[in-house]
Amino acid sequence: MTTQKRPALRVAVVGAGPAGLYAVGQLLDQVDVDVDVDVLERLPTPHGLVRAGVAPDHPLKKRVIDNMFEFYLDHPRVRFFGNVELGDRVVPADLALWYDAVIYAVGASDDRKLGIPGEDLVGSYAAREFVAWYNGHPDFSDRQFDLSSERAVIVGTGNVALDVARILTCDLEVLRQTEIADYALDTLSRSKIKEVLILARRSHMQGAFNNPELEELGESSTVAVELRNATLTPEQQCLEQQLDWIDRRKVATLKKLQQRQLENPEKRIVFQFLTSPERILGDERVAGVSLQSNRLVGDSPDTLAIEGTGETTEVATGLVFRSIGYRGNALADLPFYDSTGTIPNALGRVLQHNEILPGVYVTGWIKRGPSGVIGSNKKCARETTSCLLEDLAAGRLKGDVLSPVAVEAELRQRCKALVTQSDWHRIDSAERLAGTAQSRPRVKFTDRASLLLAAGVPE
Amino acid sequence: MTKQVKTFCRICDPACPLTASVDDSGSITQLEPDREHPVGGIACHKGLSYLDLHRDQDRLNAPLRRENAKGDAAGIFEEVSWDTATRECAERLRAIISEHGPNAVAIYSGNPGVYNARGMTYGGAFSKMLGTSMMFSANTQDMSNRMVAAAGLYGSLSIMTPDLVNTDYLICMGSNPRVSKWTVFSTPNDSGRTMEAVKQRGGKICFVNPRVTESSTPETGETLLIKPGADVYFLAAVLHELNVTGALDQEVIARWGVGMEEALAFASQYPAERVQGVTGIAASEIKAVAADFRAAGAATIYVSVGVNQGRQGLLAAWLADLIVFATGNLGKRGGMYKPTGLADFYPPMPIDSISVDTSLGELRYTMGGPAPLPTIALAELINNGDIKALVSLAGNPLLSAAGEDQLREAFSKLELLIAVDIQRNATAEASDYVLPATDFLERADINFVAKGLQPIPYVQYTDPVVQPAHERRDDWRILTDIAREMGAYQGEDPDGWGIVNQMLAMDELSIDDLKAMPHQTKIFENTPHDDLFKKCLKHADGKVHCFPPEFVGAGIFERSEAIFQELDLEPDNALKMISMRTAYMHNSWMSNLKKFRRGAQSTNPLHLNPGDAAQREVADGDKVRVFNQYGSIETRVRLDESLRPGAVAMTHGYGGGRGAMRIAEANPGANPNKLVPNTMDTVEPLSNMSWIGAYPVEVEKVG
Amino acid sequence: MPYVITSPCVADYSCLEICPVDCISPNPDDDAFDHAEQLYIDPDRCIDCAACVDACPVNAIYKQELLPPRWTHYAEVNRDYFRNAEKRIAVVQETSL
Ligand SMILES: Cc1cc2nc3c(=O)[nH]c(=O)nc-3n(C[C@H](O)[C@H](O)[C@H](O)COP(=O)(O)OP(=O)(O)OC[C@H]3O[C@@H](n4cnc5c(N)ncnc54)[C@H](O)[C@@H]3O)c2cc1C
Ligand code: SF4
Ligand code: SF4
Ligand code: SF4
Repeated sequence: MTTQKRPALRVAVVGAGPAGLYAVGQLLDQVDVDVDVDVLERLPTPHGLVRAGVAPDHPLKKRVIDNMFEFYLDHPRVRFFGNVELGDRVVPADLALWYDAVIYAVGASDDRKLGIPGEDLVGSYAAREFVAWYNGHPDFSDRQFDLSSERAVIVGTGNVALDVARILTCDLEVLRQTEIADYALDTLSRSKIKEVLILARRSHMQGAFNNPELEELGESSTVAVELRNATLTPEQQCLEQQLDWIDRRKVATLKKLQQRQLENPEKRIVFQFLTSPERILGDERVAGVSLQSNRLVGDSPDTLAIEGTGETTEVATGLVFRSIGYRGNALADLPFYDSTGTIPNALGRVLQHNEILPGVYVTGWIKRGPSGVIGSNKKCARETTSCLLEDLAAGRLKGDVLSPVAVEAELRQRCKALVTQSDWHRIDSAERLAGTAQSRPRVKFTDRASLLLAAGVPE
Repeated sequence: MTKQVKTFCRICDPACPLTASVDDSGSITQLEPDREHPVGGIACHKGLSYLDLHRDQDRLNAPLRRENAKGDAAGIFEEVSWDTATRECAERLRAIISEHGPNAVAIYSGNPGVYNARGMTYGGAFSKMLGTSMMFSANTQDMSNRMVAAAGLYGSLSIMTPDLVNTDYLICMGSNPRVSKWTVFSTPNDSGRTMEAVKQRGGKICFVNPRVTESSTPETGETLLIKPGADVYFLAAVLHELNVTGALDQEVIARWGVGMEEALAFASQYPAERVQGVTGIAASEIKAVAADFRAAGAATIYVSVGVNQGRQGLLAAWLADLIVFATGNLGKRGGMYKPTGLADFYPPMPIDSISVDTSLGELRYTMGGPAPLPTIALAELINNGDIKALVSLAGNPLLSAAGEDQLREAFSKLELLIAVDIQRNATAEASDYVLPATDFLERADINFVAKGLQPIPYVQYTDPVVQPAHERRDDWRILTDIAREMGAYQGEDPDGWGIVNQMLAMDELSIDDLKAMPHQTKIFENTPHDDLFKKCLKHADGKVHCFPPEFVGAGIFERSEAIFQELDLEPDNALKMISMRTAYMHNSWMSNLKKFRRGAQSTNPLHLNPGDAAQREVADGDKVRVFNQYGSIETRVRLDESLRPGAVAMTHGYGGGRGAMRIAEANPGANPNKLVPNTMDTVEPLSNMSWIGAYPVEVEKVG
Repeated sequence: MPYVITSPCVADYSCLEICPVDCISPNPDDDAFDHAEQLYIDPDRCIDCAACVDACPVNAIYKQELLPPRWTHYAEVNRDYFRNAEKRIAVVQETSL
């Protein structure tokens, strides 16, 4: 009746975003093998883009932290070590020595560029930076965004673009009840923006946004939605009927949004379809964008293509956000595909020159690129951890590891101001208590110094 | 080819009909609700997930004998044959009895034993075979007060049933039927439709609870947020108000009642104005409830576990029935009644008729399993040497009774601890012998416990859906084998249906008859509602004893006033712990199912009202110590606006010490029962109920 | 009345893992999952057990009658998903805005 178990498997998960934490959850679910997990995270706080990406006016989605991720981190078999940037004083080669297996889940900390002139002017930013800023990411909290122009232009139609458009037009009273960074509230309260122009290269039948996010624009009674270039030629009319269910719902919603009659809209969001930015205009600062219009060709939803018409127009603006995708960065000497911004892998096993690197795994955006919703990372992590467990069963993991105590000692020696799970709880608790007083979910600490102070960790 | 087998769930009272698919190899591939069952109802996810428990790799498969010291937290066990286990258990029991007398062997029956007709009947018989009166059960944690209240009022164990299907007004107290599926009331799960129907037909439900539960919705009714442990005073105030507004049915009282004046005198001590502070419900609200009750064509009250556990469950249950009776709603359509059913016969049941001499003095109780000795006494009786051996039948007192630490310590002093169970739970882990029982898919059965509690009375038989795996055996057989080996049983009952068949014979039925019926189900015709007066009133005078002299003798009315004064003096920010039923735990026994132990469900946080949290500078997710004079546990906080200020809640059944149940042990949670008052002076007289809900705790942040 | 998945859904399929009658789609084992915006409950097969409600980490699941006003149209969205999954024909979705 007494079963002989192998000693606990020691796994490091690098990156405490959804992908890394789902991997932790799946390892904890194992009954036939005990797994000890250390989670290493470059920020003093866990939860990746759920904390620093998901919009503050979507508090329910952030509940996945309280209802799922925190339970993984709190598990006695799991240790959190925040403020440890891999590639700095701790490198992948160290982890390879310390652990049976390492799962990289570092996400995507860069973004795709438009590749057009003027992209680097002051006033032209990545949506990623703005998102991180309003969410109080400590690496972005000292940014300044000048919201004094009447129009902001967003290039791209994904959910991030809609998040940015919504935050830029959102009623301040609504935002005041959220965990948005205080400085962002302050800046937004001085915003002059009346119009957010969303530029879509493709047609209104090809929006990258999801239905719920699109529908949400209809919940505001002060922000009108306008569509441009959303009419089809008579020959193309039938296309809308051939779309799949999800896209038809989007088209129907777009039309409803446009048809709404608002009494006194204060602001508007304009979707301009079939339009590509050609150049960002201005000397030092953004002054406008030169646009090229496109035309839709093709006779079925699957073969639709875009071609430029050569017609150009200009639109005045002081603020341009590119929102055409996040992108992973290379991590130290780990293999990296520059073209996709991901670490090459087979089902999560990291590949170097097409050979499997034993004991090294990836999951999340750094594995598959920046797509999907939070839960997509659960499936992604499941694939990765299954490979890991398969490798364990097949004897492909090496087995000699550093003891948990020794690992912690190494980390403490190399990284000053290590943040453990109980330190993070101190931050979390202080943020929530500050929030209680203001009827907000939390008031975030937004720079490393105050985060560490709240954590009770001397810098 | 898969074949479909009709069966029914035995996790809780509804006994929902199920269809199991069994493949050629004899394995169950699927459990589904039996949508064709004549009584209807749709099994819930717990019942349908029982398949996971059936397949659980950590289940008990063979008899185990302990090899290491009993005090060691984790057991080291050796598998032994049934012959060995039976013989050794029998020898040791016999030796203990011959040295110390039969009462040195105590029996503890857990809640699942109730949903096991042969296990239950032979569990009772087993104690008689051994000759012991040292009987304990989970009932003194959850409902023995209901039994004793019925015995006091009616002279029999006839717990009345609210006629939900026809009522116009229901006071639903201390219950969350949407999640708990009703207790001591059995109707196949309807996902709350019966409650919704009350409102749809123009009636009303008033929930009285310290928490707005999942049951209280715009479709069912609103909640009066009562302070935990104040139910008695609320009910007394309602009765008093009904009395002074002339709402009592004097004719019915005169015809069937005795002692109503004294009862009303008791209630008059608690007018709405006096109790509003202690109950937290404004006098006007209480009066409005009385007015609604009076105005309703037919009105009824359902009190359940939350009330039962609050230290005065007996008085609350008594008052609930009394209000219904005094307003002419007893035996009335839409009021309270006693449905027919199997063995529709209620013998006289004198309160506290069984007596055991112990080192704690004379302990008394009403009836073996249903209303036994106080579980609270168990640890002390072991420590004092009264009890040398304990047989735990489908029970887990270590986690589900008060005072885990004290019990654990006491158990280590037992000469013999035998656990009969399907899982190696915490109590099994502490045992000398662990005997593997069959699960409900491996066992023939009838829905026996539901008798007399069903709005549509029926009895259903099920075959074992599959043959028992490994060495598992039916509980009744395990017990009779031991008794036979001891020389304490000579009966011949090869299938174990003997006692059940005797009951069935009262209705001219037998197990074989049931087997031949469609869905193996016999539906009984309901007799008129007011039949109960003849059927259930078994005091010598044939009356409802409105002010039972036994209650007076036990001093519970004075005790009630003393408690009132204690509550009255409590500071405003005092916290009281109540238990919280969830959809993913069932006492302590769904804990090894992976799908019920994920994320927030993997543990049992302390639910705390945001205001109470702010006062203590505690934030959502904070780690806290919850403590009182009886114990201390640590868990995380979950802010919960559904609770009234002053009420904190945890789900019970959690806790460590079950190393062989790997999923449970990896996610142990904290055992709130460590905080339950565990001294004899906290036990409710007569009902022997533990004060397992609404007891004071304090909360402080750790770290 | 069945339960309905609404807009906050992050497709983490916790509900699907606990649903006793397997009426939530798409399953992560299917390719359709990779493009799913959210998961959906088949109203014709849901048995109202509410197990998914507790399991959902973002409180996205409601009993149909208790849907918040902004999300009442999700009852139709959930139903529609299954209609379309069966027939693979698109039906114009009437969203209420
Ligand atoms: C603006 C925005 C809004 C979104 N909104 C939603 C939404 O509403 N609903 C939804 O379902 N999904 C949403 N998503 C998608 C969701 O956030 C992603 O799918 C998910 O966060 C990706 O998980 P990940 O773990 O791969 O990456 P991340 O969440 O980015 O986590 C990676 C972690 O790794 C850490 N890290 C990076 N480098 C290192 C290093 N060298 N050493 C140690 N640690 C490191 C990072 O700090 C970070 O904590 C949104 C995404 C964005 C960008
Ligand atoms: S309600 Fe109770 S008896 Fe019915 S299926 Fe659920 S657990 Fe089983
Ligand atoms: S209510 Fe029950 S049956 Fe319906 S989707 Fe949720 S889990 Fe499945
Ligand atoms: S559990 Fe909630 S968030 Fe997850 S898939 Fe289901 S509805 Fe969506």
